[in-house]
Amino acid sequence: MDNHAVYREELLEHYRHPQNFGRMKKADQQAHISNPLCGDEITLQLKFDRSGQVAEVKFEGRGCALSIAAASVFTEFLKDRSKKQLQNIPNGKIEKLLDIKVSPARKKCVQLPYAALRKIFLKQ
Amino acid sequence: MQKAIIWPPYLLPILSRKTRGRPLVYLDSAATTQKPYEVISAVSDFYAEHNANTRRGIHELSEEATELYEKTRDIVKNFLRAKHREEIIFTSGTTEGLNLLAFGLAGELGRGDEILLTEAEHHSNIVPWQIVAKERHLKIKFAPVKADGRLDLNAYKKLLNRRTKIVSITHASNVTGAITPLDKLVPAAHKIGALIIVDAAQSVAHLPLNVQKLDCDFLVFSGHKLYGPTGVGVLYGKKRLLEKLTPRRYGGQMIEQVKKNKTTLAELPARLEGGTMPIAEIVGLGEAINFLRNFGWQKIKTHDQGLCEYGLKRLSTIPDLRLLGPTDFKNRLPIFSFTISGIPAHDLATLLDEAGIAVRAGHHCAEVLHTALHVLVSARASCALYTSRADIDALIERLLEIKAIFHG
Repeated sequence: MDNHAVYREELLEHYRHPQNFGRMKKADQQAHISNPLCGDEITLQLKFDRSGQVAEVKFEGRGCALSIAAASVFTEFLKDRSKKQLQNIPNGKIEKLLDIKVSPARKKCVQLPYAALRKIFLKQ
Repeated sequence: MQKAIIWPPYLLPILSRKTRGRPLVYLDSAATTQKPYEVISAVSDFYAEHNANTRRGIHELSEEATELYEKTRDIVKNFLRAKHREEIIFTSGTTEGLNLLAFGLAGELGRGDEILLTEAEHHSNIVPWQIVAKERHLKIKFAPVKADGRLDLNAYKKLLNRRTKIVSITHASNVTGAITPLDKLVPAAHKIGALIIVDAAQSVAHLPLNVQKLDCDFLVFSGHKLYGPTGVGVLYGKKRLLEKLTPRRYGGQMIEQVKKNKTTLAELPARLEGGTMPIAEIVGLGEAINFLRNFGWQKIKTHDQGLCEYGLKRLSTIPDLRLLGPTDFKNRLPIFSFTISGIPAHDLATLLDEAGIAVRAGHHCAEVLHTALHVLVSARASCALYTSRADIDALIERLLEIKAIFHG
């Protein structure tokens, strides 16, 4: 069967070798978020440079392939963006970045890194 | 060799449809079973031919509706081998039954009294007790399961003591399929004077129940896991205990007389059936029980054992697969929860779904059990009377494909 619309090789590569995975010692901002229903959890960390742009981004956590791949591409996307740009990222951005359409039950997995980012800005 | 049960498509209409463009392989029967045509038509016939409220109307339709409603009570009574028909109370399902028991018995419990549950319980058999325990200062204890998911009987017996007032326990785990040896648990609970409640949600469609022989004090189940409609369930209780149980829903037919300052409640069973009940669904439940009884328990047992044996054998051939629960096919239901290392359960479920195979992923409302078995979540394939070996073959074949996709 050839229907790997969601689980393309590119997405699975992100799962196997996620970008920006790890933890920085001193982050400017960070948020932890979890989805107890499926056991996914993620900590998103951001460091800004003097001009207020994202200088470094890391994430750590565990989860399904969708949430890890989502965090991998999303953290890549966040690099070099200003705080204002981060605040204006629309919901659904990650699905666009991954170029996938997921079923309602899996939306939370894909949106977990986005939810972590929102949490950072809600705290401020 | 077990002979497959043949299902003409008209008997179980939904099984002939496709999902995701592929023929449906439905392996989520522990969540809810699909409905045979007889059940669907019993519900629609009720609305088309007999619909009225029960007990109240002095007209022919109401008489018919009441008769069908009460006839179902007799069907359930015979099905459970209960002594009295008023020991059968209709509820909205297992969850409501357990809530009714927890809150309805709370008044008789006080500080330091103990409730004994097991690690294998569904959240519906944990959370109501936690709420009641907090209100009444009770203590909840959990009898542990062993590594294969079966209850540790010795530990259970050790946890029973004179403070134990209620034991509430599942008849079969919705995760591991392990069947609880009630014949050993009930006498032990009664010996120290505790009441025993049986959650038969998973077992009711697979094992014959005889509440008098079991001697359990209460037993609950849902209609929708028994080929019946959603929104209906049963609470069985010994008559003298149900008479003392505090109702949860006041109003409607559970009332005998209302004065400005005083109300008298009706006798059992109406006393515990407040408001208008889901009459059509209850009629459908009666039809579902008839459907099951037409098979006979021997045929059901052979079918289930065959699926257990075959399923366990086939699953054991998948590399890196860990089965949660007993690996012997006896004393277990055909429910297979598993993990495959490197492939998260939710991804498994999505990739199975892409091939038209319906399973569940998560902790299946049994987080305590998953913790006890040292896993976060699992995928679950569960069977019913319409499940065939071909369904298991489809699952195995797809799992191997998924492994290839994932491990590149």
